[in-house]
Amino acid sequence: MTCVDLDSVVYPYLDGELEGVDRKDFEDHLGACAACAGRVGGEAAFHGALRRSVRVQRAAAPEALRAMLHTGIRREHRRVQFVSWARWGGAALVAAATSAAWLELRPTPPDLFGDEAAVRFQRRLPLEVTVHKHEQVETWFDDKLDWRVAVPRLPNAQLAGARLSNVGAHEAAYISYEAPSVPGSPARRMGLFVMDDARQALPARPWPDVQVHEVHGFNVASWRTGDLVYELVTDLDQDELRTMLTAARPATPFLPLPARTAPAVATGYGARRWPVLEVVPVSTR
Amino acid sequence: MLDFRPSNRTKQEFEGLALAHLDSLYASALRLTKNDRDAEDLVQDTCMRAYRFFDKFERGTNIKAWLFRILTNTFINRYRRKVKERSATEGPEQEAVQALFFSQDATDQASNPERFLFDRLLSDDVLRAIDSLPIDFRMVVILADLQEFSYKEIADILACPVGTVMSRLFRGRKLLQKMLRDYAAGLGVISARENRAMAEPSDLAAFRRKKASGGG
Repeated sequence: MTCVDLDSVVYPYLDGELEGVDRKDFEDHLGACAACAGRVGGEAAFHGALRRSVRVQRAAAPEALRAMLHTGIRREHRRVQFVSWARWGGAALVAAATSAAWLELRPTPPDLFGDEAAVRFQRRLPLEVTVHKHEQVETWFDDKLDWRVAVPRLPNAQLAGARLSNVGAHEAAYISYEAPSVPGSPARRMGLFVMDDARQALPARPWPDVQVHEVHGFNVASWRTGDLVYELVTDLDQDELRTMLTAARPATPFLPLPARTAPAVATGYGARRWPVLEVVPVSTR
Repeated sequence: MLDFRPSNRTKQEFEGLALAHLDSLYASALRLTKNDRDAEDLVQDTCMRAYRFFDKFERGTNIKAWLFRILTNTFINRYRRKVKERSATEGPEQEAVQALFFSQDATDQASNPERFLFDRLLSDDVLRAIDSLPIDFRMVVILADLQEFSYKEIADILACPVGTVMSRLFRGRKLLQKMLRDYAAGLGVISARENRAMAEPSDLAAFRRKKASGGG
């Protein structure tokens, strides 16, 4: 790949649209070409600023709107029912009385979060920070989220880096790990989404009650620790995943960090400690 | 009598599937309409319309993308007339956009002032810039950067080719960069200079053909 080739797909790369050999060519070129790495670094910083700002203002739908919609749907539902009563006459009334039992049936709520987390994991959006120390990742998130992320120590897994993400309408810290695999086959991946759920709106159960299910060919484990909900997506099989989480248990790595003593206040340019954004390592030849 | 069961199940299914995305819809509506009141109206219209046409939704496909298609259509049909925004893809706007990223300054700066600037931008500055984007660009930026839809999903939502999505996203982001750079230069935070021009992507298939013919 030449510098010109690379130029035309910088955004597709940052948007996670480059796959397989294209992605590898792109990253190989970045690793060897400092000029391109610098340019892509600037674009990645812009991309990061853009995503951060649209998330900061991400507002939850007002409760009044939610209530209004439930009412609107109920009214619309009644209207449709009334039309069918008129059409079916008395027989429908009888049916309504006899079929009252199913009214209580509720479909299982779809696992929206597992589903979205698996899709995000599969897309492999580039990491915004590639550091291998847990504390560095926690510090990186400190500047970007108004809640604190505890980065779990997963046994036999190497921390690869992190980025901001979202699952549903929830802002999420995304932490990427790699697990060693049999020689010759590609490293196995684990992507951990951490979400703040102080409202206790997500269905996850408290650790160590971990729920594991398969979504889009990946295994997804979810649990809660205090206000934080964790969704771990991986290509490990369920046995390996259970073994790993069981090994993690005695070390209790999932406790949330203590709250910040002083809230970070943005007072303008230069007032905050800004991390250096590393898209990919640049080789120093 | 068969009418009852499916109808009631539909209501519950809709509430389970669609209203789970209410926060996402609202957040995007807020950026499209720029105010709470219109955003609420837009989301309400979107959801009621989606409920009425729920039998047209193909079960098992992407409900979020389907809802966003209704949201963007509703917005374009109803609110755009009110907001009276000019289309971004025609007229003088296009020339202005092209002028900004074809200005040349090819020197690569070792210290990378771009990164310096964008790492330090405050959210309010960026949001103000997004809100002033022409609507066609703002729409793809919201779908890609707020909702993280894939190019294919955005193309489905807006009923346009993937190449158009890539082009609008590229131009929208370049326009944002230009606004933010000018703003920072006005504050004296950076010196006023243009970034090196970057090639606009056509589509990924063309990119692969070109790359293959060039021998990698």
